[in-house]
Amino acid sequence: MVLVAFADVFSLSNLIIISIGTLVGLFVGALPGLGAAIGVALMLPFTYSMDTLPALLLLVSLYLGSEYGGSISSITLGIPGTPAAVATVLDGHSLAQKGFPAKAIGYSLLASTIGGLFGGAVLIGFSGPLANAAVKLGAPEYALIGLLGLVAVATLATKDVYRSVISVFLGLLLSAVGMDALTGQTRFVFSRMELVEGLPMVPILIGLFAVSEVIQMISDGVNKRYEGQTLGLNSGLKLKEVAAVGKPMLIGSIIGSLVGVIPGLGAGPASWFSYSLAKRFSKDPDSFGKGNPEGIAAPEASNNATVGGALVPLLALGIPGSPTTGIILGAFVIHGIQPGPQVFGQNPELVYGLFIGFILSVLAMYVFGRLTTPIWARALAVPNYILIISILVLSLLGAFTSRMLVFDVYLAVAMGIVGFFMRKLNYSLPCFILAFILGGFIEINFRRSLIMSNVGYGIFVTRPVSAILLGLMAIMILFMVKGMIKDKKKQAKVVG
Amino acid sequence: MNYKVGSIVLTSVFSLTGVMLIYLALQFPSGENLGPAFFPIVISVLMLAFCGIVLLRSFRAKSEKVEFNNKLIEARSLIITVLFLILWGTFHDLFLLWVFLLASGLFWGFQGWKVRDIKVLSTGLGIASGITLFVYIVFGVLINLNF
Repeated sequence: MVLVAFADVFSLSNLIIISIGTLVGLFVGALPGLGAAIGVALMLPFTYSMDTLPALLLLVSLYLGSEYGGSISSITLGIPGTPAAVATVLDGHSLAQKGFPAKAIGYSLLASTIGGLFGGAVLIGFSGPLANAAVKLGAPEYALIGLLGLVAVATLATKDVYRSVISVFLGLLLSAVGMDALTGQTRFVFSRMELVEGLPMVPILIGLFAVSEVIQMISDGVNKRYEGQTLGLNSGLKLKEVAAVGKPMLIGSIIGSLVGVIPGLGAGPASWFSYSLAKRFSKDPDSFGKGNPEGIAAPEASNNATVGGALVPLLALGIPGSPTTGIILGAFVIHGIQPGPQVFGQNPELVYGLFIGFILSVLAMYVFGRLTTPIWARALAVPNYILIISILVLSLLGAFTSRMLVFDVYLAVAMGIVGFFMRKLNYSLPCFILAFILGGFIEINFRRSLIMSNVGYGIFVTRPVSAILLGLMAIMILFMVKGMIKDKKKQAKVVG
Repeated sequence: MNYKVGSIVLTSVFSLTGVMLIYLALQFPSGENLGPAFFPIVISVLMLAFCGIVLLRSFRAKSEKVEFNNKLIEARSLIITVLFLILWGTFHDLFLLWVFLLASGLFWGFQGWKVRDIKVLSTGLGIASGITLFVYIVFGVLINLNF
């Protein structure tokens, strides 16, 4: 089985697809404002006509490429390409300003590769056992795992908890549109045939991420362009230099993989955790922020390690922990495959292919990173209006391609406008998206639980795993409340 | 835009959506156990409660400005895009995409340009033709999309 998967992944067409995904990922990652989620959403329509494995390889290689790509603009411009690359600016840009941009890029690329490989090892090592354990779970546990994901997103990574919770509810309500899976009753379709099967995921995702970003870019200025250091970015590292960043790379890889598994946190917080820990364990913490290579290695290893970690719950449980993995879930579903415990038994060649392809994508990221980083640094100088037009056209066509309906294009534009205002007013798009993706799953398992229950809602506390999950949710909520009280006291002190 | 006013307006829209969904869900047939209305009603009620909290906080909050740097361009861009969508939805012609790209490219990229400026016009034509060709090859030929 593994050999078949090897042969499949190493076919010429799949190698080309991994290369394309990596190159596109490097590009969208390097461009400030864009990132993995937008790149994966824009690329999703291209996967419709592909087989499942190449489709997933394209998206995963793009995801990995964009996490490294974010560091290119962080280092050369001092503007992070992705939220995950914010921590890299501190030491990456400082080192570049000292006249060593090539070294900074070299540290970033190496750390991203090590982190990516570590995340891949976690994906390969943990998703199988987790899927085996998940086979024994029932509807109550699944409902609560889905709910735990939403609680985690709403409580761990948001500015305004109340607005995040509203965003979660909005996403859940949107997921209720269409035919009820248990009774066949249509809900909120307003006599429109396009809505009977529910709101389509692709136009919603494209609208919320890509179209809203287009509006943001127009707001930022259509003639804006970035000019940064573009020369002499191609450099390797000496063995001594590599050894010097071994510890922070390990710290970043471990933290990134673990944080990646937890829904809602993602690469941004992971890179900051890693940066702080690397600083704490460094022999020279005072030089952090002034061009210390350890300050580049830790966050970069971390943000790439989150990719493997984030795919663990998706593959093993069928539950995405981030908007990007939510879109990858969409790719699975479009190809008629529901990720989760069953996929390991029903499509083992796909799972092995994904594992092998993941590692290959990390290596492709390293190779293409070495070869093409100077090109992406130059590409940053492309005027905004060309990017705006290109992203807008890809978005509109991508939305149309999903079902060949103009209705979906209007939907994407409408969601883009809603998403733009939600972002401006501190509502949480990740919460909204994840709730929309998980809503149907949570509802159906919740209702099934109560239908099969003899003790009503007691079914959620009488089963051990359910009780543990509820306990975890309670802990998260307690921490959130504690944080809110602390913030309030701080504010009161400032005012006082 | 004022953050306070924007918050109140958007949260009110969400609240009204919640009320409307509750009203619509109450019309669903009630099944045995939990019917199709159960989930939307519970979620809408919870959402209304949180909207109430946000509204109260927004009323108490100080006024703060939210930056919209290019309001006019945003509005015009939206009009051009919607106009293009209406025309495209009716005629399904790739030529319309080329016109849309040219128009928005010239509009966004070269503010204050003049038709006589051949360099500007040829750049706009080049970008519009390049992207249209890309779309034709990728979506029309490779994905076999029927425009």
